Amino acid sequence: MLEQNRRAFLRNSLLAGTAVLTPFSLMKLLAGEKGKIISPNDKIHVGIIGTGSRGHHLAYLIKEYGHEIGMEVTALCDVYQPHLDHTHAMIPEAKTYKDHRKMLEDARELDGVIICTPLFVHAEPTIDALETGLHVLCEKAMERTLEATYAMAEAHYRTGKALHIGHQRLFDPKFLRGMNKVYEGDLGKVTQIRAFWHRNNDWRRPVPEDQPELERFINWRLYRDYSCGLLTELASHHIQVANWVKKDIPVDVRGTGSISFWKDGREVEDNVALIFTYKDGTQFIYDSMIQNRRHGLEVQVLGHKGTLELETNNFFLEDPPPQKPAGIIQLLHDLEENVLGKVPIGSSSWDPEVAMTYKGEPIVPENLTDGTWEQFTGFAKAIREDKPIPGLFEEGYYGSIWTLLGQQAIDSGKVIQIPKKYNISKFLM
Amino acid sequence: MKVFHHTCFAMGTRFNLVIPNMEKERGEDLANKATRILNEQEAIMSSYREDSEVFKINRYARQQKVKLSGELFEILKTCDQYYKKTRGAFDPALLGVTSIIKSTSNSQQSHTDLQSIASGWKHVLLDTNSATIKFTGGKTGLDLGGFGKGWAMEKIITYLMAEDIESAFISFGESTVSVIGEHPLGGPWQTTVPDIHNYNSPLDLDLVNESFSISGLKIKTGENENRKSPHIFNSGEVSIVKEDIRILVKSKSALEAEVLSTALLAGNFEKKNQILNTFDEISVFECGLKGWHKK
Repeated sequence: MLEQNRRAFLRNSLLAGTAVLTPFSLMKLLAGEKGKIISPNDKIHVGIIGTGSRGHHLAYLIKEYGHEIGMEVTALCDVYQPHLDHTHAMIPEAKTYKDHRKMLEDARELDGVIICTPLFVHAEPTIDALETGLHVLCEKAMERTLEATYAMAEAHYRTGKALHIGHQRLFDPKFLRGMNKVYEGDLGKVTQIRAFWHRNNDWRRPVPEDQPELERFINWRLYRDYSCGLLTELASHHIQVANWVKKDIPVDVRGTGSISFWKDGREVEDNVALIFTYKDGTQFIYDSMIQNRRHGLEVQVLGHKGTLELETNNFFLEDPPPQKPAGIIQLLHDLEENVLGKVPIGSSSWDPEVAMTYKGEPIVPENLTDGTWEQFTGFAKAIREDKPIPGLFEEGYYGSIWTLLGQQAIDSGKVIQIPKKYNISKFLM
Repeated sequence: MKVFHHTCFAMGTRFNLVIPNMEKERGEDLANKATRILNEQEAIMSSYREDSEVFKINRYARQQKVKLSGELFEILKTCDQYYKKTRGAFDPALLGVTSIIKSTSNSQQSHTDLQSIASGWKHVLLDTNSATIKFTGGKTGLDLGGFGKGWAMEKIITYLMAEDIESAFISFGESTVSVIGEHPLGGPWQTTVPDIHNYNSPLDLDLVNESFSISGLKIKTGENENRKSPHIFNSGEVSIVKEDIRILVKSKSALEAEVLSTALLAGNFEKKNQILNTFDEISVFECGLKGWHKK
């Protein structure tokens, strides 16, 4: 009976997206519960597949800070030699491979794999690594197609190995505390989420002049066969956050997009807008563009009592508490210290102008991280405990699936719902 | 010592309640009740809230008699007593003048213009038999700004004392301050009020079961910082108070302190002396260019 209840709970939780993934559990994890270390000298060895800009950056983080969690990079793999050489120069002790299957043949030397290949080649190395018995941290979004994304999920559940997706906001302290505020009712009823990501550049990577045939290989983000552009590379983060806020997945999505500025032969939109609707009527409104950076990026969670602006670490109450006048602050301090002091107080009049000048309050005291490093802490815990963090994969999965459904909405001009076959609740029954 | 503190917006300003030696749970119960009292008073006396009783009276009492609730009837009877005792220096029916002044340039409004406005308590018919009110002046309207905080403060003090609170410090927008009992370490609550012209010469006031209220020119903060906005009107001869002074009244009654600080600022020299003679248990201080001095 208990087992049935547990399964029913997990099934409902999965439909809800995140109920088993509590911000509190992740905050505890970041605060020090990083999993059991089997022996003091136990090191986690990871291989990185894909050593382009993102892979190189993650390799750098592990090289610099990996000692904090006992993680080190011992293998590097890339089909593009300049990238492989560039990262290998930073970590010369790592073995190098041009074929991920060769790297996995040496799997007994590895505990986990980090996948930073282009979107359309996430599934193959991920599934191969899982089936080899390795835990995987794969960059977001999961894959270019729904089918490939689902295949990765199937491999994760079949092997029981962790598959973390690089939605690093799941480990960002301001997002974790922000979610706590949502769940504890500090915002009241949340009925709208707004997010945007604006840049002002062509999003191109330089192609060697003597090798123009590498254009699609290097600028894969700009071509539909390999990427959904702004959606899979940027929007996926905020789509995951919106699901996290709602503890649910959308009912449907509608959208539009265009190539309105960078008409340089690219195939993906440079200007997109989507609206996701949840079953309680909440609307998640998203837009992205790359010809104006005035507003940068933000995700705003709007409730009837308050607003979160998560990227910039701000929380605003609809009815902010009055500022304590200086005299009252001094009085409180004196009383708490058992001091008989004079209360400086008294003005002829006072204007209730606090609301006009109210600048909100920080969600966390210092906004020092975007969660990129902290996600390694979670990955290390999953590796050491040899099991996934409950609820984490489902966040990445539905964030990725609804990103692709958003692209379908733009392409078709229709309102898109999730096909039943991509619902993964059956894996937890 | 443990101290309970509650702050909230109420009646257009910020309310602060400090209770020494108070556990959080009981303090919150008391604060919730106090907040409800303030909200109830605001729902009666606000001239800004469209759902308040005063707002509805101001809308309809020029055309017809308006029936008063029991509490507002008591409030207006009390206002009438203060109007008479201060010989009109306290006037709670000058909303029309206030509106005209605020809608025009303060400095441009001439004395003659103001005299012609049919406003003020002399244009109010308060029928004590039927508990109704009617305005006879076209610009008459209730404005309990110089009364409401004091009335509400009295309610809060009465409630807290009924709950056996023996020591508390209460501030209403820092312009109306009341204390219950003595300081928890013994002796009076000691306060110090700044001198508007010379901040090195404050007025030190000791309070035990007493209140003080300050009236003076509104000094705006924020985007209008340092702009002084005359907002209190001499009744009878109706003019704007422009002198850069503050009047502080200390009294056993928060309401009396509130009413008289406004009246003493608004009244002319003769009326001020009459007020001081009539209310002989109050202490009055004035802060002008030469700092604070007792009247």
